[in-house]
Amino acid sequence: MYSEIIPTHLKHILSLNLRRILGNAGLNYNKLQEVRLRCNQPLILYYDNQEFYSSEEQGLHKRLEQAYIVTHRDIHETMEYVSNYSFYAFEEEMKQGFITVAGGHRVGITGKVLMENGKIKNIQYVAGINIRFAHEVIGCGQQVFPYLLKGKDCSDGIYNALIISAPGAGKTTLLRDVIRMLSSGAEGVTVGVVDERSEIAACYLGVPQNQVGIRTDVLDACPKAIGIPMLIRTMSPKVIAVDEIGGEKDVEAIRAGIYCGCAFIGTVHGTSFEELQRKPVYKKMLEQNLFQRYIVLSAKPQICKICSILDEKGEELLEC
Amino acid sequence: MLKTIGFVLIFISGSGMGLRASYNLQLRLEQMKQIQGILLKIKGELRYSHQPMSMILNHIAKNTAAPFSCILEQISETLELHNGASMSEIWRQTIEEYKDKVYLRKGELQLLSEHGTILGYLDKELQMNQLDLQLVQWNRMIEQSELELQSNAKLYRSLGVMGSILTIIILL
Repeated sequence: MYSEIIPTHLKHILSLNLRRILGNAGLNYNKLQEVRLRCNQPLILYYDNQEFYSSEEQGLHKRLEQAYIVTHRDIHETMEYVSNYSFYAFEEEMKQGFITVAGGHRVGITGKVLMENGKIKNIQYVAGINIRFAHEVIGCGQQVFPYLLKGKDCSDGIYNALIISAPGAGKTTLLRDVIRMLSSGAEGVTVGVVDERSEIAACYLGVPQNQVGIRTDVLDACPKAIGIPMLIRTMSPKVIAVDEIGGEKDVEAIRAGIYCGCAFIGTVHGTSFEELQRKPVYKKMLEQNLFQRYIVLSAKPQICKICSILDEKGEELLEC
Repeated sequence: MLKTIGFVLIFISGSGMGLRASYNLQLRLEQMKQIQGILLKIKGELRYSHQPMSMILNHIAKNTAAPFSCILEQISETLELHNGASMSEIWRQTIEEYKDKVYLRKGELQLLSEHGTILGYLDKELQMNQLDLQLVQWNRMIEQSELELQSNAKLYRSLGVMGSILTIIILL
């Protein structure tokens, strides 16, 4: 019954109890955003932008007293399935507090953090799990795409572009769709992606789970500063895409990549072009006109909502 | 004429039983060495690859002879099912299913069943140390089995032949 609603690979990461409860709830998978498991606390789901409790008999509801209480067994069993009985294989991911599973869904983990020499060694006694379901927004890059091209199509050249947005506004979703559009079709170009946090392509065992196009090569879980020169040397990409440019090393690697003739598309946290100009890390990058297009996203309420598209001087090409 | 055929049959079956007992000892030793090889491969994969255990076991199964190839494949497939059983339960149940297809004795089967309890943990070093400990136990068992093979293989064959001859003499 529930396998028709929840895809099998998702069903398989939940404990048997939770599978049964979610199965009986008759969910529309496309509206399911998060499942939150906290030891000895009610099972909470974020569904269609609302918070719900769930229980075996009642399905989705808002009555706390009737909510299913998540047990330690549920957490342990779910963790076994998420890691495919192989915690050691996800050691590095667990240090970052999340594991990406098949389908690109992200499983966040909390518990007792063990430190060694000032660094996280691992997370012991996992007591909280947040399963965030990845929903691609195919086609959200349509509006932006023409502004990235120097001519009629990709073969005429691509501008270096930076997507600026606050967290949760859809910059990675937009970047992913732009990558897909650049890489797909008869006129597509080779795109290299350095996916440091596995958010763009959501690779599982090295294979992209999200649609990133037929000419896209992904270096998964690789730091940008290391991955960019590696991609240039090995895969000769026409375009390199990176998410969340954050430090001096990232900027230096991008500058070197641009000098090698690659076009760059990246994202940064921010709310406006002016805000970036005030941040020391980006100020020099902007002064040197490394990027020719700035796409600013609205903070709320719609995901990937374009606020404006600017050129290298900060002048508006499009205002929404 | 019938008597002669009967004696020949007694001789063939008696000798055959001796040969079979001796061959079983040989097979037991070979299977123990196979298990040792499998554990070494698991240890190597744990050290150098970051693949989940189901993939590691499936990969090793492809380069292993039956019945262990079937055992590893079945464990790997069951792990992928996520059916509510733990790694150690899946491992133990599979060994239990295949116990009649291996030539191991009770203690050896017990040790083989225990391997599932040490795999899959976060701490790779711990798993490798545990595997080392179990490999030491297998080494000891293999040495004993080799000694047993040397001393008993000939004995079983001779007993088979001599036993059948003795039976024929008694019947005469």
